Amino acid sequence: MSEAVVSPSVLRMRRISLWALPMALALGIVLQSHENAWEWWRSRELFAREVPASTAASLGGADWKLMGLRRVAERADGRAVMLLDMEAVVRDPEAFAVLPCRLVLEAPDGRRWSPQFLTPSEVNRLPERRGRTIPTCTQALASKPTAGVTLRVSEGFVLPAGMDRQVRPVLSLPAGRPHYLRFEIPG
Amino acid sequence: MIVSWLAGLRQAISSKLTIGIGGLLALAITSGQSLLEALEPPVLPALAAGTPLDAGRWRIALHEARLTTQSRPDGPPAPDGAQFLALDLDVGNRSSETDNTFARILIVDPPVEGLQPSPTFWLMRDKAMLSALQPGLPERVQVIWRLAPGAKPPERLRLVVNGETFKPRDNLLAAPGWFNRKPIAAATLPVARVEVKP
Amino acid sequence: MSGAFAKLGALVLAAVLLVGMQRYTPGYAEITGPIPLTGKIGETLTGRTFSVRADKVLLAERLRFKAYGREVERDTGGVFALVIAALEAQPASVNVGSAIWRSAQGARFVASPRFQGAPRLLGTDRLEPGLPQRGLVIFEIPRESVAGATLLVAASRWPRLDTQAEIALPATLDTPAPLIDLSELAYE
Repeated sequence: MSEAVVSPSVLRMRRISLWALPMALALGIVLQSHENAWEWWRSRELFAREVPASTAASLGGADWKLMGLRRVAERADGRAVMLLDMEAVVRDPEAFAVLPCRLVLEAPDGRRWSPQFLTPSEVNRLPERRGRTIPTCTQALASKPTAGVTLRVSEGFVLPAGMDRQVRPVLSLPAGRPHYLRFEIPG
Repeated sequence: MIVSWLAGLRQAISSKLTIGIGGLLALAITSGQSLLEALEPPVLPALAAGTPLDAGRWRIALHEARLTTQSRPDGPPAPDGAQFLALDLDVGNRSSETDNTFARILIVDPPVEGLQPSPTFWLMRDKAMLSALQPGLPERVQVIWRLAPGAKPPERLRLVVNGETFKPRDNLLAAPGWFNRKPIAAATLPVARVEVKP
Repeated sequence: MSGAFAKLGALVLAAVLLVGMQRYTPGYAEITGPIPLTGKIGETLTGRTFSVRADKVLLAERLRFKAYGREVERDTGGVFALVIAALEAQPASVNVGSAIWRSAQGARFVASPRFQGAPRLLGTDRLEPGLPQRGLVIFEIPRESVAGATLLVAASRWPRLDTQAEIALPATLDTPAPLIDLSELAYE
């Protein structure tokens, strides 16, 4: 076979094509997966906002304020029952109503306790809660309040005794991610 | 010029022919298939009472059907005077995994008027609702249908048994599973009467 | 002539390659399936969302327990296998809902649903970090499925890209006890 003579312009075209290929591939990946990447970004808790004690912070269409976190009882098996009280002032009802709410207690080592599905009986027996039902976070979101409404939210937790002084409430809402709130305990 | 035009024409005609022939072939195959299905005799093999049958995923033996006033195998008669149709059967799970899809095993065909569409399956060993069949452990089961008030109880019950086939890799996820549920046998059982106390 | 042979050879080679790929490429369910975490009895295995330790396996022909204030006795056409285990959430509260007895032959037995309301059944309550749950999983299996089994513990029955603890159970076990009362069982 004889060597074919290739003109410089054809060579240039070939080189351009070769360089264009990785770019086309990258573009393809971006076009294919940008929705997934966006979904990932909006579902991850990436940036914590520290909320100083007795101040409110905005997240997911409402201003959230920690009203109190206290140990209600200690069970015989060494479990502490804790009650978390929050207050939410609704600013954007549409963003606020996006479920689910993730309100947990977080230890310094990263362990997290979710609220009990059924409020512990020790919490229900508290005098100030007799005959009253204070909504949990998910119930508050699902009640679809209008703008300007102030909601009381409370959750009951069960965790090992001894952790009660170390944990801090962490709030993450679908409309607020990738940002989330970590509240400082007063006192 | 004219030569290349002719060549183009030939190419176009040949490709159109190929597509046409392929299409016709596909059409012929599918119509042949549906014709075969239509021709398939609607007569299912008869299953005698008490005879075990391998239905792919399950092994089943139908025993006795009767009219009763009890809504569950061990309970007192239902307070509202309702009537129930009870069927005794043995079911075994032939698959390699605990299964709770046993409600698909049987259908009443032709349907009986006034018969509740989804019956309750009772595990006779516990006199409790059956919630799972473990592989290799056949159980005596009672199926109970509620009859609508005033409905005429049937003289006989025709039951169609469904079979399923195992696929080691399904088409979507390449996971093993049971597919292609279809009737494989039919049993006609007399419905035994019990005295209905006034 | 040799050219034709080469062409035929290439064709056969390609066909063999394609068939091999079709046969042996792992399927989607396999690629996105459970991530195994293997261990022995008595060993603590820590997965993505929980840790588990199986301590003991007991066999029984009948089981007695109290549920909803009623004394219940259960028998079986095979044998009951009881696994005493400890589970703990790590690092966040989680439900670990699936325990499977995989026999040496490969059959998968899901924990028996015939013991609802029995005390200390694992998988009923959510797990919390720092609060290990010690309890029981009950399987109902044919006698030939006892020897050389594996206990599979995961968040769900078919974990997708998630931990599945696979604990090798003792190859031989004692003969089944005629009756075990669950309220008299020693968990520690």
